[in-house]
Amino acid sequence: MSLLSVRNLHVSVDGKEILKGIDLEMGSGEVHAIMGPNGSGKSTLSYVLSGREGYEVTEGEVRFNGQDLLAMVAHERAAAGVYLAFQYPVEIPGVSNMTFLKTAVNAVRRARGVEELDAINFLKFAREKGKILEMKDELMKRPVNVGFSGGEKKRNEIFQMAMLEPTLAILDETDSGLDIDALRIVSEGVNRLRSPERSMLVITHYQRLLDHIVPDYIHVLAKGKIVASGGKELALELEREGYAKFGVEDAPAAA
Amino acid sequence: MADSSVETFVESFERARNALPGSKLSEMRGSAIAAFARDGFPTPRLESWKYTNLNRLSRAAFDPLADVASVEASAWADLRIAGADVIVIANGRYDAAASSVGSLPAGTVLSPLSEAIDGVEAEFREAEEGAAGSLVALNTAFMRDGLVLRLPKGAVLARPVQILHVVDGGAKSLSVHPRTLIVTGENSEATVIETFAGAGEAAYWTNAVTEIRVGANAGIRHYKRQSEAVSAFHTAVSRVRLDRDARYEAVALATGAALSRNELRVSFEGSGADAELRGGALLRGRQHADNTTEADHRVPHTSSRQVFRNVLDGRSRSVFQGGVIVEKDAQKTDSSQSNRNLLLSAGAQADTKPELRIFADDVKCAHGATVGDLDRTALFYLNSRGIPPDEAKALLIGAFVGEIAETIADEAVKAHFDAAIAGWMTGLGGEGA
Repeated sequence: MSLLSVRNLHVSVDGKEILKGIDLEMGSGEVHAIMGPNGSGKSTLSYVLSGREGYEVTEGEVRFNGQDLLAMVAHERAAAGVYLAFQYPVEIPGVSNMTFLKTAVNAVRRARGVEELDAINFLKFAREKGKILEMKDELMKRPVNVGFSGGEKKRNEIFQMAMLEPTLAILDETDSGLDIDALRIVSEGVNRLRSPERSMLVITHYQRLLDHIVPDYIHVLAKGKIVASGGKELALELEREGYAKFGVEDAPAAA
Repeated sequence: MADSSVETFVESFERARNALPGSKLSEMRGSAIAAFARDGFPTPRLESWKYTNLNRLSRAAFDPLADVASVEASAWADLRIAGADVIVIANGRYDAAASSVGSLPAGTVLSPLSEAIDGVEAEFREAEEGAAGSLVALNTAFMRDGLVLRLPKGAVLARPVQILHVVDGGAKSLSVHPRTLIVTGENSEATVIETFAGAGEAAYWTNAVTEIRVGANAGIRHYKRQSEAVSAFHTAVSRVRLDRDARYEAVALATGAALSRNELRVSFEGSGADAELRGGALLRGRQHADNTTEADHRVPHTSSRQVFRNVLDGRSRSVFQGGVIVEKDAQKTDSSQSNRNLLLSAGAQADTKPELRIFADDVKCAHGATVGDLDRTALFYLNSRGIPPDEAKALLIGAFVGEIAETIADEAVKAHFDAAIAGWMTGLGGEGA
């Protein structure tokens, strides 16, 4: 049985159809990459899967672990094991990263029927997971993402993922705007979190990321539809020939 | 304009004038009631009262002389700040049994006004000379109790001083007119907290005046928690004068009263003086809260920062009138002002008006104001991490209001303000505008 099963998904935003019939099957532990030019609907797919308001599903269905994912609101999806690493992580002045994460971790644990962590055990847990992402203690005390560099923000996204232990992680352009060192830390973090119980949907504009996070499958999204699927060799083909082959103008940028 | 309740106050004054404390103040009280009889209650025709209408207050029949049973002070034990010296003013009168003051540095006076009233005439007279407004005049006419704090040169108070005002007139509509005087000598330091609370079937009115003079290089932290009964009226004026290198830090948080007005006027009279004015209101239902400030920079090299935050639910309304005056000689003034308002319902309304009058040319004066609702992107971000909507909202609102009292360093004092915020937050979500 698939962990995630997307069938004929049509999604509109403000009455304009963005996704025009997406089909996608992901098994447990698999890493799928979705590549596509700007405006192809990549971010819409990530938001509609994670439950953001304002995305109207006009047709199709999404099942996650056999459940109707679209019937759940955002925090229920998180508790069920869906995680979105944001393309643009949100700044929350006045709320420390620590308070934010403790609230999130315990909300998810409560929903999953696991005992909540007290302050001391939370700190231990955070330190342990923080090592994977080379998170400085100081970043935990600062307000969420406020004054973080681009790289620190993306690391914070993957750090949160490590803390929330999802079964499906959606990485929305996690590599955009990162220099090679930051990319290395982030992608090593992601690779450490790969496991047979965790699937990942890696959305990217750049082929470069797939050198670091090697996917099992690659899909090409163009104009709201998946126009090609294949193994990792598809990325190389795209880099060589561009999206033109799939009827799209925009060439994929190679790092 | 002859409001019937203006006449009632004048008549009450005639009956009470000989019984009011402080024989030396009698003449001053007489001119004050004459000024009130002449001017009446402030109306929206006055620019500084444009957004706050006292119509309902001026029509109500408040009795400054009502004979009411004493307040059971133990009922207000939660409002006492742990480790503080506490002066309790119950129904406008000093409650000696409920008050407790420990040992103080030599020469320090910490006393209820009723016991120190013979020494305040000169200072009050001087204060009357300014255009104080008719509510201050009414306070002067009827003031009976409050706090007098005098710090000699170099006195540093180890414990915060709390003045706890409680009103419970039962079925009687009481008006109370507490007065506080704080005069500090060179290099002295103190933290003073004014707490206002009340109960009772009938609406009451607190009309408070606080005078503060901060001496050269002295520091006063002046915090105010307004947790009046939700049917009450609360008007208050704090007038602060800063000497050379004086430091003044204010926090004024309002969660109570049907209608409240908190006026904070700071006059910079010595160079190097600095003031930080913070405050805000957390409102719901049909509450109305007005914060009106004035930072009057009169001499060179002074600085002020104003930070006001309001959160409005239901059909409540907030007003912020932020005044900054930089007089001709006040070169190198550095002032800033920020007012942000968070609207939690479509029926809430925030009025914000920066009022900068600048007559010097080499100054920095920044100001900014916003009115908006909760950031939907931030809410989604929190939800996407598994935090349910109510908890996410509370986290964002908590962060927003946290700025009001974030400068309070003393833990017990901070807890006093956090309790007011937490108390208001527990009422969230239970309201249908």
